[in-house]
Amino acid sequence: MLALVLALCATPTSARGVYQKPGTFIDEVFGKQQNMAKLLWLSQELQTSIKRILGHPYPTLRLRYWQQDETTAWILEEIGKEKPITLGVAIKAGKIERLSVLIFRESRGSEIRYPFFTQQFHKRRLGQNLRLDGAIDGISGATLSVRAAEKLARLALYLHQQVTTEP
Amino acid sequence: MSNPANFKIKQSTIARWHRRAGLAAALFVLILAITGLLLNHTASLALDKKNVDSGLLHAWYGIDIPAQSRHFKADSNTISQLGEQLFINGKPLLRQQQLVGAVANSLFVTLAFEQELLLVTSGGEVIEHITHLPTTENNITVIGQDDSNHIVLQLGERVFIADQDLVNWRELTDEQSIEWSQPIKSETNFEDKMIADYKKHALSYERVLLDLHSGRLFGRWGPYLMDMAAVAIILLTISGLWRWCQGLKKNFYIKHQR
Repeated sequence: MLALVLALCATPTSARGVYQKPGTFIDEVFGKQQNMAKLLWLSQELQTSIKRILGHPYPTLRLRYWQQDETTAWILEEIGKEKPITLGVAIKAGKIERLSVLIFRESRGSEIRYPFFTQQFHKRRLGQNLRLDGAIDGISGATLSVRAAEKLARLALYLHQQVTTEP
Repeated sequence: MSNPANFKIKQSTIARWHRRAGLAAALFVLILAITGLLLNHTASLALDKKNVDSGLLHAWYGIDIPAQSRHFKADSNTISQLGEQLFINGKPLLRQQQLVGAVANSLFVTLAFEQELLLVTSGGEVIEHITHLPTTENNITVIGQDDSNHIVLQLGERVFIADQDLVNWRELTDEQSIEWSQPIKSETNFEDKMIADYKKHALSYERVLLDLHSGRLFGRWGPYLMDMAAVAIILLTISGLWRWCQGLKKNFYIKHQR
């Protein structure tokens, strides 16, 4: 609790920046192994489900992900209010292992990078209607960033299902 | 009991000032109310995404065109950047950090920035945003292609070459013939189009409404004007209530005189 109070008190007025390079996130998830990246082309069918999660199709035609056995890692982006927030999500056997804010470009809402928020996603699964299987507590003044993080967590879980489920 | 003559004077003075304050504040109250209503629905009306295309407002805001634009030739495509705004063949793409270079093969155009790559079609459709680079130690300094159209990146002193799909990278240690992307001179037929587009996207309706609501659009003294309008609303409310109470009192007085 004290750590949380101190963390919030220390928040600067603008906290934009690169908190972790995407490459470092992938290295931390899988170790320094190379050549594990794969590509997922976002077909019309996938984009239809993505639209149900994000409220709009993903703005690129393909996505890069990393996979080793039943663990996948995703670098995803979603706009909070005006600018994209880059998140790294690692999933093991259908449950979120780790969610980190990598790049934050908005002027408000960067509190979502703190562990008190990101740890809520640990072990979360995809429930019914492409929603998380449990509630995520919001942060006052960071509603749009919280919403973006939650959407990307759901998207990563959905995409994990798509690449790990046998056709 | 108070003198009815004094009461009449007080009432008429208040009524006169109530009217004057109402007239003086009317325009500002209208501005506050209309802009407030619109700002409450910024997201649903997409006012932050719609842009003002008015030379007068651009001049009022002092919107300047960035002095430097950068252009790169990637096969038959021209990639340009004015400020943060990127253009492909004169068509606006998106806003990004400084463009380092651009190359193209038969599949896509690759745009390099210091910390990421952007793959687009020649029509401007975004294929992929690559933020995971072969090394995290340095930023991209230059992008190029080898004889087989494989993308080559220089990050600090190290040079990496990608496979056909830009999925895997390996470090280049031996000398190879690489054609590095270099800035070219501006193409005037795109320049005018780019400047017009830059101006068009420089000012959103949301910004103008916010400044109109706060009064900042009217210059340094604008916020004080809006403050005065707000004070006028408070006074109007008080004087209006006071007049209403006095009216009740008067009616009560007349009724009991009979």
